[in-house]
Amino acid sequence: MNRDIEISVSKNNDVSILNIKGDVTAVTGEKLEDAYEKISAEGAKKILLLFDKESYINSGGIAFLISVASESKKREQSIRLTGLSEHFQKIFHMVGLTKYMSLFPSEESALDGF
Amino acid sequence: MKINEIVKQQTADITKETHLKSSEHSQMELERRMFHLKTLYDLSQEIGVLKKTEEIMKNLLMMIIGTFGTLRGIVVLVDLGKGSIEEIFQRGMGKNSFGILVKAIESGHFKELEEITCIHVLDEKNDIQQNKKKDLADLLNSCKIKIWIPFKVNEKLRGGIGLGDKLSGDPYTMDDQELLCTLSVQGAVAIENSRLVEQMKKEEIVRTNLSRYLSPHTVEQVIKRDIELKLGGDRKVVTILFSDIRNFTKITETSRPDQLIQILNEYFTAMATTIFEYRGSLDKYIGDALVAVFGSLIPLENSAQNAVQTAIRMMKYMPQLNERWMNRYGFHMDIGIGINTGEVFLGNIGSPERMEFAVIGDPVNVAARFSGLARPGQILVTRETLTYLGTETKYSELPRTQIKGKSGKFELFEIHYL
Repeated sequence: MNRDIEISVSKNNDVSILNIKGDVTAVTGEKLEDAYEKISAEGAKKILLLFDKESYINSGGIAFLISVASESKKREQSIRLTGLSEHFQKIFHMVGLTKYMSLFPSEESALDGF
Repeated sequence: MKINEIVKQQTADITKETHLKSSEHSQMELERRMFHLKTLYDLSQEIGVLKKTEEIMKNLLMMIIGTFGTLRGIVVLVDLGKGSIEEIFQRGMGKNSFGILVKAIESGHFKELEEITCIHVLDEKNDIQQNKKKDLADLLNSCKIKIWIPFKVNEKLRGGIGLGDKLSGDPYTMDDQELLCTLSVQGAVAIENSRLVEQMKKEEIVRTNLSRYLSPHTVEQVIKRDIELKLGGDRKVVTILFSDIRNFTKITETSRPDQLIQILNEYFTAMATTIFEYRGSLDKYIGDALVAVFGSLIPLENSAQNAVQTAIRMMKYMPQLNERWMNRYGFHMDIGIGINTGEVFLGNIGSPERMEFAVIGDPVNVAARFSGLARPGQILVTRETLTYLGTETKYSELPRTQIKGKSGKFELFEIHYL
């Protein structure tokens, strides 16, 4: 059974950080989309998706990320992502998500020069 | 370094690089397969617990979109019998593309779409070329759909999944086609299962509801649609049977409450069985009285005939019950029955899941009054009922009688059954 997700928002200078805990799936993904819409409405231009090390994302969740990525392009936002395992980094590359968002090995490296 | 040594070194480097690339490729392929397997597992776990078709389709499409990495996708379920869209869910299709596809499906193109195994619009060796389905390819292309897979839920319900370009820019492969087929089959099974569970629940509610009015056999016939129940308000000529216990007050005074409940249960069960046997429906119990209606829920050729036969059988049943009660409790019980035929308002109000059956009108009141007039063991019918009875019915005419709340005197007929 999948765990629900918890998303909190924090700021680091002009970077809006979505702290994601839990499983991002076809069921829970809407919460991620809602959180993204909320910070976009507040004018976020630089967004970091920070996944907790216990977090998990499946193909249903990836569909929501694709949607977020596509919207961010239209809104001229820049999205970075960190916290997911190497396996998911390869999957993101495979499904073409890396064309829309850059993946980083750590929060520090993601924030560096953002 | 001599030339041949340089060549040797370069050849070794190339081989090493080739091995490295091959290893990376294998690793990537392994990751891809793991991801696909996990998707299949997650899909079965997630949609297996969902109850609504709409939710299953939404989850199915989202997982497919994420698996193939595409911006646009659509899943549609079509009722072949009605030729209409049963459910549809899309993501990123855009208003125009969505509109074109919906219009095409509704105008009969779906039949063609579901006959093919798979369409790869961009693949040169695609099914379309082989099957000469260029018009379908054009249709899907105009909606920016690059792959289309039909699936079958059951004989009536067919579905289709369409996806747009991959974000990676890669074309859809045969592997993708196979995976998409497998995912769609999983979705179809989940949809069918949820529908069956839903249908079973619905049938159970209908069964419980109708069991209050109809025999178990008739209820099953209604559920299997061998008998069509007419719902909604209607004016119809029916026959109403009103039966009531004559010496009930005395029985209540002399019996213990648990005995009384036992007696009433035995009595009502026996009477209801008889009513159902003659295809009547049990309208209601009013204290010690019961009201049965013939020709309402189930159409009958001669509702009056059925009602009178029921009344005779009820009367003939009483000695059996009385013998039992006499041995057990030391008393007996008599009933009087009044029957009338006339136009009433029939209201099977609500849905089959929650139906309240109502028979309203003056003929019901007259039947109740006739039942009140009947002496113990007597079956009284009105002129309106007698008119429908065959010549084999034995009866005698009683003196015209005044009925409470009615002007004029009523013709009264007693049915002989002994």
